[in-house]
Amino acid sequence: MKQNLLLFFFFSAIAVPLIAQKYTISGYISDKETGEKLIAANVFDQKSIAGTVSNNYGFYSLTLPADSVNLSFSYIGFQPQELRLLLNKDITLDIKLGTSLNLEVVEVIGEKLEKIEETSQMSRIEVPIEQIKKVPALLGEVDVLKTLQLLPGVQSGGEGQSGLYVRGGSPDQNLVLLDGVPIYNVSHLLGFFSVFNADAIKNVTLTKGGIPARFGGRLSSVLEINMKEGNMEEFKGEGSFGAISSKLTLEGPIVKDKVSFIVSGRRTYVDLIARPIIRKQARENGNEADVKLHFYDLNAKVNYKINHKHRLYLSAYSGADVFGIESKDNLENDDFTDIKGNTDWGNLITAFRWNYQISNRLFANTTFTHSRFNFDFGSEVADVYQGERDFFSAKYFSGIYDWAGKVDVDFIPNPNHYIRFGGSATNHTYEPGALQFKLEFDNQPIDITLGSENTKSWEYTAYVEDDIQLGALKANIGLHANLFTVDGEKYTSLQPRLGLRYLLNNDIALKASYTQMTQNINLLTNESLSLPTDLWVPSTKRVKPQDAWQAAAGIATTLWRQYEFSVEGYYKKMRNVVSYKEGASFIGVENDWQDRVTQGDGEAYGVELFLQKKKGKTTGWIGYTLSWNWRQFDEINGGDRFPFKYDRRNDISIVVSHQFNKRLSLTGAWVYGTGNAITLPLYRYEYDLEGIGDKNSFRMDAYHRLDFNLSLESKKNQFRRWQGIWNFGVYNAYNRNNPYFVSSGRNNETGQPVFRQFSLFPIIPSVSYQFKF
Amino acid sequence: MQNIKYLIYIVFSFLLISCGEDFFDSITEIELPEHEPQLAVRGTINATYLDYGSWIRVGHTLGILDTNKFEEIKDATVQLYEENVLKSTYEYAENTWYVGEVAEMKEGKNYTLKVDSPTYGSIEATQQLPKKVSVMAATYEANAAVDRYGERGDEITVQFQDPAGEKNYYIISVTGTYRFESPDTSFVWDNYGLYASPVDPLLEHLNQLYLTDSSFDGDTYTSRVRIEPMEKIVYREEIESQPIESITVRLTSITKDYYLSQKTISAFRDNDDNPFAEPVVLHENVEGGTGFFRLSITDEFPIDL
Repeated sequence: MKQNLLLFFFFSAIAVPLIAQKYTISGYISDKETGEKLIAANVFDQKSIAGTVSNNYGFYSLTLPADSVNLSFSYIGFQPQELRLLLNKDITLDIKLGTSLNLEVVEVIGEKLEKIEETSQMSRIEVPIEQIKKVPALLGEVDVLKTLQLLPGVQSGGEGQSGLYVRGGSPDQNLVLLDGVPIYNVSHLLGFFSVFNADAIKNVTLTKGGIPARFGGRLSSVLEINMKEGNMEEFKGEGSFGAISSKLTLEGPIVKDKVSFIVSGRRTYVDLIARPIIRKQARENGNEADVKLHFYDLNAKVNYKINHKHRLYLSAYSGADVFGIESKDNLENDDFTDIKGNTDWGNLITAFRWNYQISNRLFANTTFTHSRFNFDFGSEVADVYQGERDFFSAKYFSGIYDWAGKVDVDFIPNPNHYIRFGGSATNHTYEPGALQFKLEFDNQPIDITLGSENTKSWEYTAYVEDDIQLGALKANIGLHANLFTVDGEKYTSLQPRLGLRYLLNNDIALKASYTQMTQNINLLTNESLSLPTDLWVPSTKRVKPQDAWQAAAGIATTLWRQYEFSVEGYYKKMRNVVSYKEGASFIGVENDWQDRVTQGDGEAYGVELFLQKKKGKTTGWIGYTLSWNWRQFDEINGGDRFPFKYDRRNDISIVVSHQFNKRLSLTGAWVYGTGNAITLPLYRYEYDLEGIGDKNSFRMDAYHRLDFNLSLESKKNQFRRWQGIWNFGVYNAYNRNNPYFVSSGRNNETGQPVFRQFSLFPIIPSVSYQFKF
Repeated sequence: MQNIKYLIYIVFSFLLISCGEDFFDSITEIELPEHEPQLAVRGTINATYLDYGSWIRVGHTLGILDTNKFEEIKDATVQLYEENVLKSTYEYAENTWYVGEVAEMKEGKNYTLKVDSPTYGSIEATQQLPKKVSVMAATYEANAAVDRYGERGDEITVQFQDPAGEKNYYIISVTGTYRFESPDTSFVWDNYGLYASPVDPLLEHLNQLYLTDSSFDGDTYTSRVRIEPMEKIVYREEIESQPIESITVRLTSITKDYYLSQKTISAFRDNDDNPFAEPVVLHENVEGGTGFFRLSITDEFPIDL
């Protein structure tokens, strides 16, 4: 009955505005200089007080009564355009916005941008790439995810880690989409750097709650990262030289205004420096040695505008960490011992997209994607002695591979409705950890493979959602349906979504949201370390899908015309979250992974405060989160609930950026977080038993750190294409010994047993040079 | 530009202030909360084997960094109550544990262990003695079993009726009986615990084979274990090898606390040296201190070979 009433209300609301004669203005909004489509640009008719925003492909559609209209098109950092038209027929209007010439213009534009209190979406933050590039970073390596960790409700796992813990969730509960394709491993070098190359990225949006129905598959958040499309107008390049890596991005038209490309690469070069030294030292000892130690990312995209209605995109990302060592000890009489070891892991994703503007109110996007993450660890020992060869190798491999297709349709019948619907099908293949041994003794080969077998699953989704405007009330109502099949088992779920905004006297918005989410794939992860050995596994007959509901409410307002302020409270309940059992670990292939895990519940609640200044010479934000985060498993901690490792009572971040003049800016960031909850043995009895009280009952020291980044741009010259920016950074400016992990040991002087806290990064200065041409 | 100079001064001041003696020392010792020693009790009583199947150890906890050796507490008052009526007082037997004379324990009754130490205070723990579950049938077949680890051996089956409507926990064990010629040349019989490995997938291999009735509550259930064929012959120093002449299957009904304490102790011991293993919280059920008190009762079923 409730559903019928909802449908009646829904269709009535659509039908009423259709009675009057109306016409539609539609088209694309793009960057005048690059041709890049602008996402979420504003279109507003000041006469009828009606507006819309462009979608992920820059498409907009605004249907208004037949009359003269006074349209404004605006986007942050761009000069707005205003147009007066007589609307007596459907109009196709592509808009190209030029970038602002100076800071004062930015301030003027800001007045016309959508204010925080005007959006129906809550718990959603978009961080401009230019701002991300200015935030101080470890070793000067610009990092998208670490910038997001500075936002309220988002926490880092620990020193230098790029994993995101959003409102009590774990990193596997974040749906990370690169050009709409899920990416499974978001970090390099044991979690210290994220895989996203900021030079290749157009925009980054994180949704922590009130997740719209078009997204699904994860419990806690959606992180959308869209790659640039490639400059349609002229050939451009940018890059950087840093302490650990260099980057280069090239983009330009293949056929002007028709086909464009972008290629972006990043590679670290520690091994290039270390390799000659290691080789030389080995040679001096009569041996041979080699080392591989790097990570890389490669992004590429081709964008083909067939005509005004059709557009094709082909994008790819490949990134990997490559660690390897090889040594050959040369003995007498041609005998030798050859030892090789490697640890490689990485992602490969590809996406083919077809944009089809079916009509001036209907826009479809069809996508085919492939995503894979695999981890390989191997070692080989070959021993040749008096002509006889003995050989041993061990290899551990795991991974996940997806093939998917989906269709997303935007239907914009009138300014009061923005309807989205679509569906998808995904085939997952899981390789949940296998160990392969090969031995050869006296020419007798032995080949053994141990571990869990590959599993396949299918996941189907369908959704519908509508952004509804009813006077001061704006709502996003949606439903996400999911069917997951694995090994003959079927799991279905219907996930309602609701986001509400009520505007009080045009300045203050009351917002609320309710979200239900289901997650059918799980990451088995060790709580103590961030390792690429983490396994992606499906829900099975024994391991049920995770699900969660989250309710949030808050107030948003703009203070003194330039400070955005919001307060949000949230409560999240999670079921069937997965954890290793007590005593279990990712090592061990003697039993199935399902025997090593258990499922339980999670509960997270808290309050987030966010004060942001976007305009003027001084910009930045202050974020504060007060939160609680609990887990309860029947088979862990005697069934009693315990604080999650990343339960963080207080989390503060302050980011301030000041533009001294057109060339010089200084950004500082200070973070504070309550120490992680860890488990330590506190007492012992009998000869070997140790008591730990309750799980995660010990708190590490609080984490706090101050970073700076000073940016100095080269003088701009209209006759010179080359532009350079020097970045001077300081990480951990007051050299705080922040806790990374705690372990037992003995005092060097007294020999007494002690517990020691290990810190990773002292104060680290960095210099990098960015360039554009 | 004046502002920039100040800022640069501030940044470098931070750097200089930070430059102490241990500037790049990344390891620091941390303080743990002071540990107040508590009474620690480990007590197990099997109602079937009251003479030798029961033991109560009394000690105290030490802080994890305390290097003192453990010492048994020998002057504690250890008492067993049946439905709050004193049943027996246990005495410390030198170099072993506390022992007491208990004539009989009754299924379904509550038993409370109270331990009082002049130094470490007192604890108590209560357990209800489970109902004895009888073995309905047991069989032996040579070379008929392949266990979970792929090892072939002799198969023992145990059939029993699980009481309905309650969660029950069991241990399945097997002993062999052989003839033992004692120094006075008379023949006596002795039992020898046989190593049993799981064939039944529901069996948990802890220090023994444990079973819960989660998937067969109230049903007649048959479990299977494997024993090592070679173990049918017993070797002892003082006698020549003797063949096992009969096998006894034991079905021990245990309390939930028994099961959980053993499960966590096994998990702890199995992974004590694995740095990647998840921490284990030992299951405890005593109030006022630490440790466990647990009850069990056993039914036997002999099989002649």
